[in-house]
Amino acid sequence: MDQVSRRRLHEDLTRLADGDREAFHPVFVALLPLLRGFAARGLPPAEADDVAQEALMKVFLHATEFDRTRDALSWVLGIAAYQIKTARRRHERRRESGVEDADVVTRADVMADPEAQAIAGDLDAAIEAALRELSPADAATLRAFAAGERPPEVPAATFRKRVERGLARLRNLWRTTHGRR
Amino acid sequence: MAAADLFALQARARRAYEKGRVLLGLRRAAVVLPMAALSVFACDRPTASCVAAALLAAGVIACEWRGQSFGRGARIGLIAGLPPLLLPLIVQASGYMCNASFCTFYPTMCVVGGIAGGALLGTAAVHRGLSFPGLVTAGAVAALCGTLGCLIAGLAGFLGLVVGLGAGAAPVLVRRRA
Repeated sequence: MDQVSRRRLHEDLTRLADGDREAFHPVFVALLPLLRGFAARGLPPAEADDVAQEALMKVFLHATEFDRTRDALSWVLGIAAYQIKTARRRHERRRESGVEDADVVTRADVMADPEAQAIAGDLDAAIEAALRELSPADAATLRAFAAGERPPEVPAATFRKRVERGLARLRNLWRTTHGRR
Repeated sequence: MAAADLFALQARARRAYEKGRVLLGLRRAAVVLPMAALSVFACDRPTASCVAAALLAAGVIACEWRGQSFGRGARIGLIAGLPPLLLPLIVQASGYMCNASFCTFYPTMCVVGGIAGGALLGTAAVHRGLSFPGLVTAGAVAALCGTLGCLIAGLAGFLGLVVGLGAGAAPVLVRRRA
């Protein structure tokens, strides 16, 4: 963002903080692409847009608290950075619990299309064949991981390590059998 | 992003902004609570105190939500209303008791508090370049705020407050226009 746009954003946000609704549209137009770009740098594309929107809502909710002696851009990016950090933590927690919402959605979408269903069936068969090549312990760990479960007697950190090792072996096996990841 | 999604997002952002302004109003109006408590305990007119406090809180919330000169006026009015609110209550707390059938001491305190509040209001209005609607808002909020203290003197106290506020603010405002 160049200096002129930055100064204009500061002026508009100051007016908005004071209650001038005329400044709403210019601030919205200036912030949407800015926050999208900022979120896209720190998050996967699928999540970046949602986080950018969340940050935008936070900026407008707290616009009345904007201190005109501070730089508007730094203030906005501070809010966005916090949202990104929160999203990353959420993502980490989801990974630890072994449930990937995105995977669930993707599978549900695949099941709606017969051609995609056939491809998914072939892929499942190939994965099953690759799993049979792995050691029974690795195969059991990955099956449990795919089902979103963890054996109760195995601690979470140990299970995560086993999953990582199992996935690395499966990846190697897949690469030698199918020539790509 | 499709145009419809963009409009929906803009509408959501606008709602978030308006919600933020209402929350600002609620935060600023929270100062009315201790004022109302003082008035209820000291003035012996709980219904009138509660009505004045409710009007004051509603006014502050509405003005802060609207913002601009109304919001600035409400903030100035809350400060300018403190002398007429506190002066009669301090006098009462100091042990002064009025036994005559018509006591002029408390209404006089309301006039004095009003003059001090009016001078504050006029000075702040000149300093912050308050427009006419902002000035009216500040006056109304200061009057309601002062009423919470001047209820101790009844209607005479309220009239004394209004006269005092006008007398205190007028010279500053007239000097500014001159």
